[in-house]
Amino acid sequence: MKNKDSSIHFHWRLIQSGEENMITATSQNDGAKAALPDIEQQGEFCKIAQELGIESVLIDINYGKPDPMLLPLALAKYAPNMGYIIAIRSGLLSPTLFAQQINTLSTLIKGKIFINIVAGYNPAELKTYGDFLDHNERYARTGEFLDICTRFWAKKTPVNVDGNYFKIEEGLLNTPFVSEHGERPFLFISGGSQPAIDLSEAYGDCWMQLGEPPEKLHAKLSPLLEMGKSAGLRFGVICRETAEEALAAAFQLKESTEQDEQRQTSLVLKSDSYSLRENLLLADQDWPSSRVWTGLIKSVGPTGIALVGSYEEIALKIMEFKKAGVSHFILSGWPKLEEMKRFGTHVLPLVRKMEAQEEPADYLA
Amino acid sequence: MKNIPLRFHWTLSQAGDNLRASGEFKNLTGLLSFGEQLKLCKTAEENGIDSVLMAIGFTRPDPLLLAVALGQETKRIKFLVAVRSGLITPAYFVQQMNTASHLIGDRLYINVVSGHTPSELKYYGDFKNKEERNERTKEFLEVCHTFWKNGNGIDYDGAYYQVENGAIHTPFNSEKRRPTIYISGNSERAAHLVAEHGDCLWRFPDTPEILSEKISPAIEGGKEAGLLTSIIARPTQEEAEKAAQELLLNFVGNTKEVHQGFNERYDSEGFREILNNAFKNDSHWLTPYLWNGAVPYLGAPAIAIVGSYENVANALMEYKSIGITQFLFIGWPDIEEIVHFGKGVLPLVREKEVEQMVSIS
Repeated sequence: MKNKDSSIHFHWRLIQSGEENMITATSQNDGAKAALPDIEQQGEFCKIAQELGIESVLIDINYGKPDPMLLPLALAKYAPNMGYIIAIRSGLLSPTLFAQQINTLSTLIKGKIFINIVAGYNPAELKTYGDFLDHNERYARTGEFLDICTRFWAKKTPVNVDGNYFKIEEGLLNTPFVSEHGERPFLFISGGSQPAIDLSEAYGDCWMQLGEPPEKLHAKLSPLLEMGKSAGLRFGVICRETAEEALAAAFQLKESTEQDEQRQTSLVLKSDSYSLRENLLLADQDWPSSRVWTGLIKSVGPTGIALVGSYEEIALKIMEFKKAGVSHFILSGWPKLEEMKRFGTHVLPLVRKMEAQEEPADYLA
Repeated sequence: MKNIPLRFHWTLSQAGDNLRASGEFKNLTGLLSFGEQLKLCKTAEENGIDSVLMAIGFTRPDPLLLAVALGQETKRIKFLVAVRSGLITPAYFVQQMNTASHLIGDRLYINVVSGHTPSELKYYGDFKNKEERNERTKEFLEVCHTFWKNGNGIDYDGAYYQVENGAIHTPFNSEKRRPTIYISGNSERAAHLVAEHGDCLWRFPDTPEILSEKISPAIEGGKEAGLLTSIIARPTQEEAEKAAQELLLNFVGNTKEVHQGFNERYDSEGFREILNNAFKNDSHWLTPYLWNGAVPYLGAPAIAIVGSYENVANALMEYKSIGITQFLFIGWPDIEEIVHFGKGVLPLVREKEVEQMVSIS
């Protein structure tokens, strides 16, 4: 199944409660406020995102935040057509119940439902949920989880799976997935390691990685693209009218977040994620590619890798990624809302204009 | 006996599809009409019903998501959300419940069930036997309580659940920091579990003499006990009995033998006991108001309190006198029955409660 609609899909990370004017992402998991939904503010954010042409918002999952499965029910009141990317890990609930929750959600909101399957990167946090498996085992379990969900979505029932982590016998699920956007949710598989690639091949629609330079991407993505899968990247964005202004904003951010560097680095060192470490190594080079800046990785964390430049420069850079085979971007900014407004107002229309003028891309041929 | 006003709840499980329990189970659709369910919630809200039961099972929508969606469209009605251990980790369950409490306010109760149909539990990957499920349910509640109480720094090392330095930052949005916990079960064990980890027991009705003994562990533990029962109340006794008989007309050509299968599918003693009684008993009246005539066709939850408004009100007061303080009703059809109850029975119950209070003091 090749992506017929060849325009790039832009998604944005949902703002958290208490984050309105926050410059940094340092309170990501820790702020007491982040644990409480602020539906009015988050709903407004979704409404603006929808107006700007952002396809969906990403809702993270971890012990410090509200449950991502339930928030869309409330947010949809503000932005009825907004899409939602719901993050999920395989160790939290039965795949049958997960499919049932997603299916129920599909009958209650109009927007497109995306799922972002994450393996989890912080072993200490996973133990809250009784998840004591190591990195590779978590991926193996995620494979079984997706296998079961996928069978329910494809209505290949009764489901019989006798796996190492899940066992389902004569499984039925009569709660249907009902959506004008498809027969099942769109599946992002997140992660940089080989197991994530394998899962994307087997079950995913799009392989989602942390941002990285475009130069070597095409070779890395080709096998998946040839199978009809798509590829996505996560980036921060710092875009301004001119490159000078963008750089000034970037350096100011770095200065104001430097006090967090030690803490973030120690978080990464405690993680068993392959891509978090790769990402931290990237940070040795400030500009691993033009407009790709790693200056915030050490203080903000892995999603600190950012596209920095003028509106025009960022649009061109995005087109460069597109040529390398990337069709989904999950973006964020500091603060999220202001950056999303700048991006949506200035960069996104430029990208659409460039897309309208581009030659038919060879990767779709 | 606690001298508090009786509280009433209603099941939402069949809104818009009232005889669904009589059909072939595997063919039931899990896509129910949101409009019908909302209508039931609003009718319940207007008729003195405290909460609606959101059941769980493969032929239904997810109860928590549906509760949040319905909660956004209503103001007062609460949601009694069913949960089974074995489907979800306690930490994630707490996180979902707590999140929901911020979206619709302090309007969530939970109904802890062990599951009564082993074949269905396997759809969800749950292969434990009844004994193990009970043990796991107990652990599940222990872990949930710890999360609700402490929020972080949680360690638990059980046979079914382990947590190391666990934390859920989103708190439950109420003064007591946790939802009210109902536990469903007809075994003695269930009554003890309520005493230890719950707030109220749900069980099937029986004669007051038998019930009194069965609920005593919960009552003696300082907790409440309630009955899950169908109800058919009409202005007169004759009309009520006629309505009960008419309910059976829905099953003409649909033999009892078909429904003997109910019995094999359950591993719940309470379900089996009620079914066995209903299949062998000729009169179908266990007491002047307790009727099991529809059980062979609709399953154990169809055991019903049947009578005139006055007689039903008296029946409820009789149960109150042995310590029952809450009722969870099923109606056939529900909306019509909610109105009969709210307009006909409830005012009489309140009257009798006031009289009783005056006579005691």
